[in-house]
Amino acid sequence: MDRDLVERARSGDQEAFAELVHQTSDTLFGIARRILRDPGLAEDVLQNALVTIWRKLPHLREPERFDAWAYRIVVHACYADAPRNRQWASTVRVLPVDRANTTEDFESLSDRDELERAFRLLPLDQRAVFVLHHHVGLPLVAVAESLGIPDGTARSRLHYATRALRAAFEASRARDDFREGRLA
Amino acid sequence: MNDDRAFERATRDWLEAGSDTTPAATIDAVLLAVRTTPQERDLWIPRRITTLPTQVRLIAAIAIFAVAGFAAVNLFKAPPIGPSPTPSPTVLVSASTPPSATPSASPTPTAFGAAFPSGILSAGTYHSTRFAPIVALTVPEGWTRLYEDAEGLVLTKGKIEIYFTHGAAAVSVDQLAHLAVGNPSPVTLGAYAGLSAGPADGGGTIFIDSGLRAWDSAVGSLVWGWLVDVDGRPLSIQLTGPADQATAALADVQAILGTLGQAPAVAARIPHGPLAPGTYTTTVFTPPTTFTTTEGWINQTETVDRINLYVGDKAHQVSIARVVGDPIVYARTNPDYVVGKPTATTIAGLAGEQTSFQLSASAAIQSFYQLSALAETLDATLELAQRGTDARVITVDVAGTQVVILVQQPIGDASGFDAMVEALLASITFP
Repeated sequence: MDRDLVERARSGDQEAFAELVHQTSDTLFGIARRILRDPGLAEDVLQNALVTIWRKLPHLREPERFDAWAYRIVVHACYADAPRNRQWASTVRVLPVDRANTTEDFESLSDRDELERAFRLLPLDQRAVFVLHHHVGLPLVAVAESLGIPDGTARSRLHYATRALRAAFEASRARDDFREGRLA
Repeated sequence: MNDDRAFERATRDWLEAGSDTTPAATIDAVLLAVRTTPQERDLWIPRRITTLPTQVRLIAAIAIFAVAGFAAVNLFKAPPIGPSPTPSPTVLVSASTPPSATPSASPTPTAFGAAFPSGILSAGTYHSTRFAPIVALTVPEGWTRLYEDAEGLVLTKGKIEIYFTHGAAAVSVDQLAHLAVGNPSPVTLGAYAGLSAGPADGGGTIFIDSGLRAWDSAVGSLVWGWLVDVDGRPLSIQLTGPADQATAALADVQAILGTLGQAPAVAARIPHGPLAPGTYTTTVFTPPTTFTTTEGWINQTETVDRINLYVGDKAHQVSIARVVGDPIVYARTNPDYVVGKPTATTIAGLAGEQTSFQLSASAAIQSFYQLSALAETLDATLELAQRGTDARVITVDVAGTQVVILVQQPIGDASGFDAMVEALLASITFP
């Protein structure tokens, strides 16, 4: 991240902040979209988070830590907005069944469906650690720092999230094996 | 394809599906909002203190300089001189000489007590074991130790929560300024001097540690904060809860915090942060391990399960840990690791085994469970390697305890880290 850009935005330069938004918004949107599993809701969250980032920028003491700081604000915006929308958030997805012509395709679709379902059942804090670690690629220590949580908490959240996803994956594969055995 | 590999690939495919391009309308809406949204004022003390009455300014300034002074003295004191300098305890200095800005407070040293057990606490004195700086507190009936690890200790009673954490490497007054209501005032908690602030309305994020670490409170809650210097490290404490309950509990909490102490034995523990060149012995991590550092090493954490030292940006690390199992066996199950052949080595005069391995920068996914399968608790897990890491593991049996020394550095690193590591490894003893 361009330190000068952050410092200028921190001191109220709206043009610098606009450039900052253009440089970071896709990453932040990707985080929100993956945590919330709803692109529309992620857009709302990103909008709120970016305005919060603008408002709170003067509090950021170390511009070089902007990225981690921004991740944190986006994650907490997800926490804040998700419960309000849980009742109406759409979970309907259209699966491209017509393109699933091979066993591998069916396996892949089945896996994704199970992973998606399992992930949606996870608490948001576990989702956030998983996304920052595996999508953004932050080491766990950096995830913990970014979210302002203890290292051990980050580890345990990742552990539980991974365990749930692995269980879903194994269940998916077991069903596939059963189906293949029955059809063979 | 084995199950691990298939799982990692399926997870990656699922996680990375879809577009991350931000819709233009979202960006336009943000930039429009920014035009009419003022930034928050940076509420940090040097700016605000000019508005205070002279007497208050004087008291606050003394406290600020006293706290910062203790931190500076403890953190940046000259390295000890001699062939085997051992860091001297610093807690007794701060414990016995509270700053003059707090004349009405009388330090109340406590006994060390027992380790905080998990769950409901009987009335008594307890000390932290994983959390550092190690704190001792006397609590009345009715409190629960909700959580403790190297970074935090949480006590609760009903909906009241006391959260102990530590921040950056020095006490900084702005760590309390984000409470936003009132001005931090000098305080003495048990044996330690510092600042207090609050109450502030909850529902927001309190940024501490240079604005990066933060602590969140619930909407409708009230928050009080304390920041004291313990052995050169800032101890940050927050009280929060529903407004009525938190207000009612404030006096009890202040009484608990008034017993804050630290056991003399703990004072000699390895300081957190940059280490002066010298010889150190673990007191929390077991088996007790002695090592000598050269310039540049930083102590990230010491718990009962491990001690992590690093240089610079944490890409260069040495971890010494107790494990149950063999990390190399674990690494061999993941095809992303390139594992070398074990070779014999000697650590502290004990025969051990050393194995090198790499995790390529293009590895499908970082080590997934870390070493949870090997560890007794989640807190004890080690992250075996990051992507793009050149690592080696040394295993040695220390009087029946399996100790692992994990060295990590970027692949192709030529920073001179190897020489630092060799000097460190050569100095290790298990007294």
